[in-house]
Amino acid sequence: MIARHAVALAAWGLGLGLGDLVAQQPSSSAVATRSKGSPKAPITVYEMSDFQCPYCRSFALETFRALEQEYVAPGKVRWVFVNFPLTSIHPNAVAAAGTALCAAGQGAFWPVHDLLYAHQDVWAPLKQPGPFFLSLADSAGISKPKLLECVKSPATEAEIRYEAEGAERAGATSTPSFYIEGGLLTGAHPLPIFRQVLDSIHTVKARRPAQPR
Amino acid sequence: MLAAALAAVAGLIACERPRDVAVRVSIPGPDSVETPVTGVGLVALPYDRDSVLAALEASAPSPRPDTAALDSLFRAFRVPFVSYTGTLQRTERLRDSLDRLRARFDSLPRNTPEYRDLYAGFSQLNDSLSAAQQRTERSRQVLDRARAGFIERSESLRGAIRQWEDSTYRGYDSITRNLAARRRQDPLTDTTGGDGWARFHLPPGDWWIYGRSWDATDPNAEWYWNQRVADDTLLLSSRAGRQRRRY
Repeated sequence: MIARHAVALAAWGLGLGLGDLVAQQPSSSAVATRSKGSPKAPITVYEMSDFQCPYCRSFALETFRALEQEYVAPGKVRWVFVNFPLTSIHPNAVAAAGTALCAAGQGAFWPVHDLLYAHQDVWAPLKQPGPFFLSLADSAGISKPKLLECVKSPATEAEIRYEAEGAERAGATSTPSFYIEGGLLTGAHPLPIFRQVLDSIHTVKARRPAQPR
Repeated sequence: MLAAALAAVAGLIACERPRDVAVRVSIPGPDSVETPVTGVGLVALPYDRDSVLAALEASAPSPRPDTAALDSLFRAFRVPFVSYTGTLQRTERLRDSLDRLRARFDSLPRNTPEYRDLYAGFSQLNDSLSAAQQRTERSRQVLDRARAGFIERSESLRGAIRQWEDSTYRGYDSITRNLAARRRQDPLTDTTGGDGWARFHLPPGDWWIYGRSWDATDPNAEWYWNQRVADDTLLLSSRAGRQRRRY
């Protein structure tokens, strides 16, 4: 049953090899600031998400917390966050992504990630969400002037656009989408589905000797 | 199986952008060449109408009436129909050729050799057209006679099937209204233009494009499509559609 699921997941593959998304990143250190788990973990999951998407929020605050304990902490999974703001339906998503990206530069991506999702209902309807996003610097314990300078930089928006284009090239059309070892899983599926997918891949990978990369 | 199931529910658990979807309708013409169709009304539905119909059929108190006798009548009627449309098409082609020749012919001086050659060709084509018109008229008469007998015999059989469909599909409207309300989406419509294309701007979620077109080779049949939108371009051709009887 589990093995069959792994086959099904592989069949969703879009012709992209493992690590293609990493290769698309401007630098591996940029990825490192937005990843959790051991770089040697047998499975890498790329989460393509939008901070203003309510489904991404419920995934981040509920499912991901359990996955972190069960798969990321024990070294089974490395989790990488990729910005995929859906600008046509979420007007504040790029600004939120910029805030998180700039917080990553100060080593605080994940605290700001959690804050953005936790307070999504507060900032999502704002016409000018900038001051709210800056206020998160205090909560995350990072430099507000540095954050402001970074979010204003055209390079930040360019990087977000670059990531979003990469997500689209990987086949994502909605958020959250997960690129897992050559397969694309779309939607904030409940925890049992993620368990089934990750366990099946882990079982298959554990049987095979590691391939040189 | 699981992948399909997950894909089917993905619309309910993910943020999606509205999509622009282009749909092209084409059917085989009398000459069997796939041709774009103008003026076909298409409906984008936020539910799968075939599933609803199948569910209603499954719970029908009686099975669908046997259609063998009516199908046989349809097949018999199709013979004079195809004969008539074929001769009509050939006659129209001849008339077009004759019109083109006449246009060239009228522009030439009468005392040139070219005029004389064209005149001979024109005269021959004119005779062919007269013969084709007679054949068309004869096949039209055969078709009219066939139609008179066909209507008389088919109406009672059609009535039984329509009665069964009316009774079986009685709940269709309220079910689909509820499905649309649950999705908070109303059906959207567009009509194919001169190039056979129609366009939709679809809100997030699953959509099906439903449409019907006449069948150029059979007046008692139609082309039917109910396609799930999986891409930004949808080709509703004879390969994608279903040719079905119009009872």
